[in-house]
Amino acid sequence: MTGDPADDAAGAVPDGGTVAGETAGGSGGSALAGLRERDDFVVIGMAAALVAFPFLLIDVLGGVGDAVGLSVGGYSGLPSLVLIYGIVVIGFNLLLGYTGLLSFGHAAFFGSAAYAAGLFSQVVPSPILMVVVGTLVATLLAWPIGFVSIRRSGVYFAVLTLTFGQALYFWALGPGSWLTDGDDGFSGIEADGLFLGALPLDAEPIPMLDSYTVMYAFTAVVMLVGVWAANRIVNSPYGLILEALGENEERVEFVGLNVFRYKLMAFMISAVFAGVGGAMFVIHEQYIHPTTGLYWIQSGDFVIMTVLGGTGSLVGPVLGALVFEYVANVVSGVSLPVVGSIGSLWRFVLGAVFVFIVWVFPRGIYGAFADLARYATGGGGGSGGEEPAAADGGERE
Amino acid sequence: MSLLHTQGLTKQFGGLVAVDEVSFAVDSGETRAVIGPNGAGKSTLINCITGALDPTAGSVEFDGDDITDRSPHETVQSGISKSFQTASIFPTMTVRENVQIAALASEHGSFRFDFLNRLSGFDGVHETTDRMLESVELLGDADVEAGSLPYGDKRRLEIAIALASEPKLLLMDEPTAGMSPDETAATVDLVEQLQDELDLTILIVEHDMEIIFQIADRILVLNRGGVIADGTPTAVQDSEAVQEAYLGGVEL
Amino acid sequence: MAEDTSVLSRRDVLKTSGAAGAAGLAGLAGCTGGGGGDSEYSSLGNYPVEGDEVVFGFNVPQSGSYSQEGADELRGYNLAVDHLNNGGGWVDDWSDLSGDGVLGKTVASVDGDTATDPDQARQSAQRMINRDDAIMISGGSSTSVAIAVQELCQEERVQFQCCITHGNGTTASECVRYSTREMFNAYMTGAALAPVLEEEYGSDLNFYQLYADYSWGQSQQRSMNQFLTEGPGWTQVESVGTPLGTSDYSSYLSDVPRDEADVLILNHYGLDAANSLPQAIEAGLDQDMEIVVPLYNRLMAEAASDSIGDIFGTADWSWQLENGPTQTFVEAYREEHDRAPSYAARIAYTQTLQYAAAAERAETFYPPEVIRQLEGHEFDNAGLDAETMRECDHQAQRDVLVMRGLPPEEQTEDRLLEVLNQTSRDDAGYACDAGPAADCQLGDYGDE
Repeated sequence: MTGDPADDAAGAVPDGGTVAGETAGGSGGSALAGLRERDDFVVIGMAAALVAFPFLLIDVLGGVGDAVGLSVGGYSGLPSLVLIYGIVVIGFNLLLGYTGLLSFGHAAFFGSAAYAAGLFSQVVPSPILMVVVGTLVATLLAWPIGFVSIRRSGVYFAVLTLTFGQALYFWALGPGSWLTDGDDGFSGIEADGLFLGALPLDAEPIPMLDSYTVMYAFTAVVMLVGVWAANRIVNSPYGLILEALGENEERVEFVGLNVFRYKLMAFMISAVFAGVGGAMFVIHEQYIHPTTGLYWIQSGDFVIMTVLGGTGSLVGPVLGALVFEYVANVVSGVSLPVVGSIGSLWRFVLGAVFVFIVWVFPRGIYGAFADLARYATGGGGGSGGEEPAAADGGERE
Repeated sequence: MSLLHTQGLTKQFGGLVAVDEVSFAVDSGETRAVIGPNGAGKSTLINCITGALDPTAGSVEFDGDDITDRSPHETVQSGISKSFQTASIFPTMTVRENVQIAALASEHGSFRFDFLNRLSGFDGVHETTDRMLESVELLGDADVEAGSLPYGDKRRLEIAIALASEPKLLLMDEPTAGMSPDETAATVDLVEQLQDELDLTILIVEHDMEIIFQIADRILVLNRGGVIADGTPTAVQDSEAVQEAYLGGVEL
Repeated sequence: MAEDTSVLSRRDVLKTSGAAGAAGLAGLAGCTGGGGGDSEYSSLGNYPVEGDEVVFGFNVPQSGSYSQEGADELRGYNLAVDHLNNGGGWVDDWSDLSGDGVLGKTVASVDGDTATDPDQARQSAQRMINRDDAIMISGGSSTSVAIAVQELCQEERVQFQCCITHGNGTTASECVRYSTREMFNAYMTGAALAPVLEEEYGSDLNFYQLYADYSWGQSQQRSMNQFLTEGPGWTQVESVGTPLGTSDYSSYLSDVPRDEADVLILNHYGLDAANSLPQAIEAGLDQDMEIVVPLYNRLMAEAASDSIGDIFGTADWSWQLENGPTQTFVEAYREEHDRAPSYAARIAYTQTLQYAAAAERAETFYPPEVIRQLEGHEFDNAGLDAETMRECDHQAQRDVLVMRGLPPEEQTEDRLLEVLNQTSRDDAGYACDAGPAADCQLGDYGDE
């Protein structure tokens, strides 16, 4: 894949997915113009999707729901929540899909950023600075955790990250509860508005369109920055190197690259994204609890979202976050005629969706769209773009 | 002038001495071969040189520096590159990307924080990549997925990757293993050509004696971890110790 | 505590713009003449309620370890809705309720799954508030969920009626104006248990505590320590935290000093207690000392039914009580479900009816007025004789039941415990400036 715009266009999808951003393929020569084009294309494409998103999720689906008599519409906090998790999993996929490292402890960075941001807000009630502080704390935490965990690989790495995450969870719940309010949850968050409170987060700037809040706009902007950054990373030497690490780590060492440091960088970069997500989460929810922020199940949810969305692309995981949060928060409230309220069966629904996707479309939801798009445009050449190796399952011959 | 020089290099695994006090040198510009029956310790010797294994005793000196304790990536950065016996490539990446990563490492060192720089801006890297691809005649397949190449092409890609690190010394670990006679001849031609073009010093581990006698300037013979002969092909051929070690083995 | 929402909340825009077509500035400022009789107040939260229906949101644990309790809560809620709309049960006896809906509207309900996870609970509450226009939210089996959801409700100006929450925090440092708790708390457990334990076991004894190391367990053991050292003059040997969700307590139990401790107190709830209690008995600790489990619940009693003989603890209510309202409720419930209700169902039923009655008394759904009707309300028709929903902290001042576990041979399917004592609220309660209430600062009503 050498950045042919026609190929990219064929892969554009409705909600939050544009094709660009697949692995570097930075060929010499032609590339500079092509890549810059792609950068803009990615951001603009994403921005367009983000503008349409709340309308589709809340108003359109709500309308469909009213017509059909099932409550399938989203509620006003949902779009922001999807984007917040989207930010986390874009970064997480740099670690999983590209570098091939499966961490079961990323909640540690999500949660620590959330708590740090929340505590900071009591000193300086600025959402933007909260994101900075939260992310900083997550990054500082990622250095030692990564340093120790990366010395091992595969299952051992996963278990180490899990252990660190759980240690932090139990600390927050018990001994650290003087700081975190433990099981009562931390709610003393003092951040109502951007720019020194001038722009309240729950304001709705567009009359008649109450699905669009300042909070959503803020989240969307942060998301765009995240996507831009991730795209740059993927188009940088790191894109090449991380993908190579996921394919053949030994060779990477033997071409003269310091594998350990690159893995650690991948780990820390993914922690930065998780940290941004965590800080945004606490700004959005105005509340954080150890189970939400630090428990291993949250880490596991990140994995599920990423794999569900597709580890083979930059923004695929966001689709996974969308489906996950939709099933968890909307489908769980649906009442079907015979079955009754879905309620706790939402996990079953999610499981079924997951099994179906992974079985039929091993490259995840995004991969499914890409395949369909290629099929519709008459089967484009080759393998339609390189697939980052790990966690992929079905693609190798 | 010796480019690579080992002194009393020893590697022990528990009770087993895989490499036993091996001292030898590789001169700049020569093609040096390491041969020996299976289990002689050839691979272990190579691994000690590249840094994949830490020697139990002894030292390795390269281009004036002691590289005994260097990690593999440091060794590569020092100027030693190894091509693997079984092609160790990146299967789902393109042929070009496979070579590019080695060229990149050569150009910008073992680590940088350049995750926001465009890869397309590294002109030197792209130039080297194209050059390497051309010399192994894979430039036409540059955008093909590496895993889909026929095996012979994969082996050539392997060599291209090793060369893209722009080494002073190229270690080749049984480059013709499992090849047909035609492929073998082609590989030998390639190696000779590369040596001319790139002014390369080569240390080659091989089983195939015909190749060795064709291209090697000097040969090191190992058996059970120790050196049993070290000299020109003719000298080695005449050595009794060598004949004994190879009894019933390879044709001389 | 919680932030004030801006004057232009999202539902303001929806309601007023939908009401009379002319969504001019006057409309946006909040005072309109649209829909429903009780529109003398400005829009707030999900008020005013449009149409013929009013929506209650029931947020209960439908998955996870407390799903059984959640299911019983839901049965209580659904029974309440049925009686509110059609008469029956307490609705026939409470003068405020008509049996024909509430304020002329039919009560509809939506439900959500808290999964005993505060974030999940908040998400489903958010959905019921934003999308389904719930005017009241109720439900939950844990204090962390209650605190998380009532926080949200305070922000969103929607009433929260606590269901099961026993930790002090809910009406102490984490208390909010938009919530009331009818269930008792850890402090009251201590106050109720201490005299009974003194009477049964004596004074000047040594006790050892194990507690689940999260906020409920921490406050529960603190309360036991306080009341046991004050009243009966007991001495605490040590109090050791066990991680929440521990299933193997053997190392903790082996550390209990058998020659020194006279009483072992297990501050564990539900699943934790279902494990720790039988293990303590298996370790033979009941031979060397008395064992107390301060808070009983059905899950634990059923799971550990072989071990609860002669174990004391407190409970919210029992179907065995002989007062009128209890019997009425038990009968109505049995008719529907063929078994006796647990306290989870009673609280759910009570809290729903209390809300409806308060709305009727206020003659509006406007949240601040409903809250004012809830505050200070005195009643004796919820199955626990005289109670007061106290104004200063929204904690009901009420009796607390001290229960004794029955030995296995005396147990029946519905009857695992017997009521030993109904401790009066005067003895179990505390003043507004004492105990947990001292830390409580209720937020604002929203109409200031």
